[in-house]
Amino acid sequence: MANESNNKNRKNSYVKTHAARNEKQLAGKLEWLSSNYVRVVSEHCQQWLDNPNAAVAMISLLTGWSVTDLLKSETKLVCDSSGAFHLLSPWSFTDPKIKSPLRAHLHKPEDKAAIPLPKELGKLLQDIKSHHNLRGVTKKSVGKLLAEIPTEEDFRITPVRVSNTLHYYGSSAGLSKFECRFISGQRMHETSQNYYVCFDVGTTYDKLYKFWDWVLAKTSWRYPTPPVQNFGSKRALNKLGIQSIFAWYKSNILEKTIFNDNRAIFNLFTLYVIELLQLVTLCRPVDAIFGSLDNFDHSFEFIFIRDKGDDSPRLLPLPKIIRPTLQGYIRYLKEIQSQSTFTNKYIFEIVQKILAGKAPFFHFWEEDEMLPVTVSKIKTRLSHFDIDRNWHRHTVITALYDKGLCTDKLACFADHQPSLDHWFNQYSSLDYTPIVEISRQIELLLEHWEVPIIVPPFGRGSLR
Amino acid sequence: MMELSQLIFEFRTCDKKLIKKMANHIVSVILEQLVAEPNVSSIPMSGRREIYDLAKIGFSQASLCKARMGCLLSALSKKLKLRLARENQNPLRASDIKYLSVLNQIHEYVVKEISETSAPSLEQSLQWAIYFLIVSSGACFKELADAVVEKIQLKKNPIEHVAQFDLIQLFYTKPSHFFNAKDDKGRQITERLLFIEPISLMAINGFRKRLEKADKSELVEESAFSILKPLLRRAYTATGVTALSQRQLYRTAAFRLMLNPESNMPQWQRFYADGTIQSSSMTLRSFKALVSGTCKAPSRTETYNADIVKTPRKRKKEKHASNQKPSEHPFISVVIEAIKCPTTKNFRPVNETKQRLKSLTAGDWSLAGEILLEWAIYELEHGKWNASSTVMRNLSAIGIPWLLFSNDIELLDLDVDGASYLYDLIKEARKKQDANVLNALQSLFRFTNHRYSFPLPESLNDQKPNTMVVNTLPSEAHFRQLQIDIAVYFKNERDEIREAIHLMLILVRRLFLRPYEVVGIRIKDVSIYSTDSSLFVRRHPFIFVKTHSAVRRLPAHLLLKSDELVLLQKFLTKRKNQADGSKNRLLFSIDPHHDVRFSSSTLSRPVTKLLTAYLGEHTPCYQLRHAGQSALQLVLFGSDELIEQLTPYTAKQAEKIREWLARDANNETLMQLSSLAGHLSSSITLSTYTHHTDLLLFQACCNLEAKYPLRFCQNLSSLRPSTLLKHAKQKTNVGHLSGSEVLQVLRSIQPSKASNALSPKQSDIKCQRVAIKEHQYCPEDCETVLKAYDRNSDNYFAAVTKCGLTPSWAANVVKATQDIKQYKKYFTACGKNSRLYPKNSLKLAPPAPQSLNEREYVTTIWKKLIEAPEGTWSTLRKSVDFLFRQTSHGRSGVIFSSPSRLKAFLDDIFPVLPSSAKWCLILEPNVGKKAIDPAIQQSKWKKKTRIDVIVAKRSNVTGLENYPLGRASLHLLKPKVLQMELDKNNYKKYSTNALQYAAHIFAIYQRAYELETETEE
Repeated sequence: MANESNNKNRKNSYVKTHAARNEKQLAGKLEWLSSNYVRVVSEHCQQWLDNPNAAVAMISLLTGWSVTDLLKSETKLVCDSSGAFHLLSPWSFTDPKIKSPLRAHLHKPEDKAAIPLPKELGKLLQDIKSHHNLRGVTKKSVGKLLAEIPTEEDFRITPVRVSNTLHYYGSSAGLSKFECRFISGQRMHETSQNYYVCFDVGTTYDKLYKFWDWVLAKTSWRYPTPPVQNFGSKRALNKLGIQSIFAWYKSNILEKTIFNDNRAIFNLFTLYVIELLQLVTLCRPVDAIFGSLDNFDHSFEFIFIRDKGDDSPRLLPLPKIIRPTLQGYIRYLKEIQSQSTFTNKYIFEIVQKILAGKAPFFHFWEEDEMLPVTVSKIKTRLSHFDIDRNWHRHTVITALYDKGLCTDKLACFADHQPSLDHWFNQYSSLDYTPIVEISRQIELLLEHWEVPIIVPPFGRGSLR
Repeated sequence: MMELSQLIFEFRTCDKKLIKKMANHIVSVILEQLVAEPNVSSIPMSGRREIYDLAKIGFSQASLCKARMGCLLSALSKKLKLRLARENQNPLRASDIKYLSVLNQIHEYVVKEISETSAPSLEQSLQWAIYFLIVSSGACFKELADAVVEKIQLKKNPIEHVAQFDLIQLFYTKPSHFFNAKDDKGRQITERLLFIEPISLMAINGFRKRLEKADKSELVEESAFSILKPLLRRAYTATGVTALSQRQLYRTAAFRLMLNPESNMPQWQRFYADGTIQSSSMTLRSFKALVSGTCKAPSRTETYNADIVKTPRKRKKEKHASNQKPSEHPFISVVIEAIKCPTTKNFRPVNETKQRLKSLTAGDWSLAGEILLEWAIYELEHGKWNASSTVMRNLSAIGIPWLLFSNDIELLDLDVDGASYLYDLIKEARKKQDANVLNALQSLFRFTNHRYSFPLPESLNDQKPNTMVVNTLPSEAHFRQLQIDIAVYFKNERDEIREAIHLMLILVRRLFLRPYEVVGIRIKDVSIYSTDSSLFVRRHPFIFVKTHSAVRRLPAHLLLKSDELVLLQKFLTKRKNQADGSKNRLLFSIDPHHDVRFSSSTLSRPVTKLLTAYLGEHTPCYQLRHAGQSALQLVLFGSDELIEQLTPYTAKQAEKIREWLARDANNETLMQLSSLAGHLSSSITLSTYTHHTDLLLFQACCNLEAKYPLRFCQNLSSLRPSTLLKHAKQKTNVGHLSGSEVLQVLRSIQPSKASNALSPKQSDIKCQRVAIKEHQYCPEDCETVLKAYDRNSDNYFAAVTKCGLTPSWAANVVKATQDIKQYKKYFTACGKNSRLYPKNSLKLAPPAPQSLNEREYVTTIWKKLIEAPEGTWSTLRKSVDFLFRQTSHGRSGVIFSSPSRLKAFLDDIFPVLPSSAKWCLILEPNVGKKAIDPAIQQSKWKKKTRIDVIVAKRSNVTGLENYPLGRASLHLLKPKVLQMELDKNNYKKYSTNALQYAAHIFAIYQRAYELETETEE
């Protein structure tokens, strides 16, 4: 009995490891077809295209959609003006409720995106979905058809293995993992990164057609013309949007400097530093954001961020360009401390705590006291920018994606963990080179967006 | 609740010694108050987690210090039987960044101090050396750092120079680390190689130089951290940073190495550096062999003559009574009735079973039966077995073989050999040797040892509670030599079999298949195409797949070399033709037309022997699989230079493999390696199978090469400024030197002893040179020739040449054998039959002993005959001649007429026999009228020879001329036969012809050698 319970316990302890392993596309798995069999399946299906099962298998091979998803009644087929059929992507992005002028500076993606199908296949799929007598097509019948394909080493070709082809071979056509997820109609919530990217669909389709060329080898099938449209996150700002936000900080700080309003200057500068740090670290908006000064190293090269639960901690490099601002912020705090030594004991003590790393790094100066920064306080102070407080993540991820950075490294930087796992586990092969590269790219983005780098004291000369 | 808060309050300030006890007490109070359910196991895991979290919040409000809080939480999680997934926790902590700043400032100070100190003391230079070993070379945990300190202080030459590498072989003990070596006293320890990067090398060099001049009594045996403390204190004073604890220093040093983007250090290496996770290291000898690319070939190779496999048909014949059903055995069936109700077939409750078994002990059973009963009762009473079904399972596993074999033996007189023999007999009787059988057997023998003081079998005595991890690693050169030697080993087998064995070894080495997987591969498990070739490991009746993760696909086109792939393809095509279109047939089969699987032990046993001989350390066949994975580890994480030097792949091939494996995220590289190895998680791959982690850590450390001012280099390395300046002038104008540049200066002053430094891929050439070694003939070669001659006397030269023998040697062997066979002296009295061959035998090869154990006797005798001193040759020759002339035809006994002759024979022959050899003398007493009493005859033989004499029941010996004291027949007993079990009527089955055979072949060998020399002259 004791042995049995031990075995049961051991089995249970492995459940999570098994599940995490199953999530990965490992080379040693049998769940994918070798390049020879991709061709064999492709030729077989093309030869028996009058069989609806073969048509469904072919679509699954080309798009990575599972057979079950393709045959679902919810899966919509749309026909464009040229007569080509497209699978409607299940991804949808909600509209941000923004009334401020910033709305004009948001990326404007389409509401819906569709995954193209070769014209011949699109027609067949429409027939299958519309004719009642052809509804006998099921995953089982497709599986039966695929199982009939003779293989040399008795390797069973299954619908799952066929639909995995895009994920295993997409990279050879230049498709990123994100694009593969989009094309294969993966549920949106399965990977958080899906919510953050706004991308050019046309470029993705070009890569997809390259993949099709490889799968179909010599074919006369006609591919639909790639549309020129953006799809994805509706919360990403463009260059003008970012410039307008930071221009507001710059002008206001200058204005308050003229009136010598110390509290307002401090609060504005704090907001500016938070905004800047969020932009370079993609930190989520949380209360006591960025924690204490202990979360920074002494030369502001690295920052420790923990913004969502136990698995979210990450150590990110800070771009060189913002280091003077942070050093200036420390000097500024010290100056406030020295000024309030005899005037306000409370301020003196709280700044001392901040500098000793015993209180949150960012505070707002309200009346005669300093209170830690919270999300609601930031929202109140920036009520005229009614954009979501994680616009930084949407904007930077979109921009970096556009630059062609590896989506996995990007996910690691933005803390989009793989399900049942995380990038920083003890056996992860993650190294810091690509992380630093992302940070460098963000630095270049700041230069491109012409984000003003404000360093105290706030004279006319200092506001570059 | 008052009590609890009071307790926690007291816990905050209690004495350190009481912390654990207090924590346990607080936890039990909490559980009493919070949980109504007394049995924690009945609370679901989520509920337990909730309790844990609630308590954690409560504890955090009590403002306890970290250590005490940790103690409380660990006690709570232990009590709640919570499995906190440490492996999956995010290991980053907020404090990491704080300590990183501190360490950076300390580093700045240390560099400054070294540059500014004009005449550093011995202590200072030791502090610097330790500091750089921790911060730059990755000796980032206490036990390792302490071991380094001890080594560099006490050993004369602490640093080994192997090719371009400088390393220290270290032995340490850390509770969480597995063991892979033993020290002089036989204690288990952990061995690791610490590769030293240039800056640390400079520092150690500086320290050693000063140590040579200084008084050694100044050195104090202290831990690395205590030695480092004064340096740290100086740094704290100068910089004003907060002090680091020992753990913080080590952890941050490893983290600092990783954070530097230039190091390209993956996350798992950081945790390897700070000792959180462990990876199998390599023995120094393995590393030297790997780098040198040479292989020390054994002086002599054995030949395998026994059956290569036990075919199913043979197994059927061997089916023994021990495999009968438990219910069919009279004693076991009675015991089963006590365990299981015969009517309902349900197991009885434990107590009832115990009572019934106790009542059974009163019965009249054999000693073996009584032991079984007492064993069951003992295990039930001591709570090791909790159910009647467990009793049933254990008795079914070994009950019948135990009763059968132990009934033939006098259990009470059992010695260690006897116990080992009995243990092996029972183990072998159960064909299905699963864990149940082995556990039950071990448990029974331990019980008999405990209760009856029976000796423990040798195999049980050797077992230690902690298993050792093997860290020897065969190199590519070893593998090549293995391929050559294994062909010689199996040279008496058919070409097809040798080819199959050759390929199987390639698959184990390159595709890291387990030996028991490779023998079960079917034709349809291999697919070879021009661009994409795969090998599948799948579940089917021929193969034992260890776990679900072991089901996998392996990229043969990437991991096999092109010639190996061609070889595999040819073999596959041939097997397809033999299989007549059936794909379900085995790829490697003994019989080309039927599926007869190779025995994996037959494959692994000689491989283990050979590898052990090459490396001089125990190296199981399984290490070939390790070598494959280690090579792939280097391919995935190593630099091109390391790949070219230490793996069989070129940098281009490595690039291809990396591209192919980068299907998933790059962060999963280790996991990809793990999936190809058939493991569930990366932890097992890294901890046991990959042996290059030390080298990879060194590579990462070397990537961080910073430039230091000349003054710094002078002070640290204790080099003369002029020497350094001279070099600096050549290299740089800015007055800064990098570590590797200083290293060049160091090497130019003290030329490296590394005679085995190799340029990339030179190892291949060197290895081939070893392969073409000069062939020396041995008695095994005579066997090969004779077997080939018997198979085909017309064209035996072709077969012989394939084994590397020359036709002239073969002809001489045949001639020598024919001479001996036709020698009239060795014919029976009537002159019709040769004493050395069966009646009318046409063959030249003498009848060989069959079992593997007997075979070992033969090889030992050969070995001793070759090594015999020249002075003993004449007596040996006489005795061997006597042996041939007195061997009774068709039997293995040697006939003697007088005890004195027998004594002389034994004295002559004894030095060439294995030490464990045992004799048996069968006496046919003289039963003539004038003969003395048979008992007296027996005592005379026994007195003279001190061998047990068995008197034959029937005797025809009469007359006093030839055999006055009877006719004695001397038999060499088969290995592992006990005197006690000899059946007097059927003694033939216990005797072996190993001595006759060995002597006969050796005589042929000697004669052939003479003929060969004559021909040459």
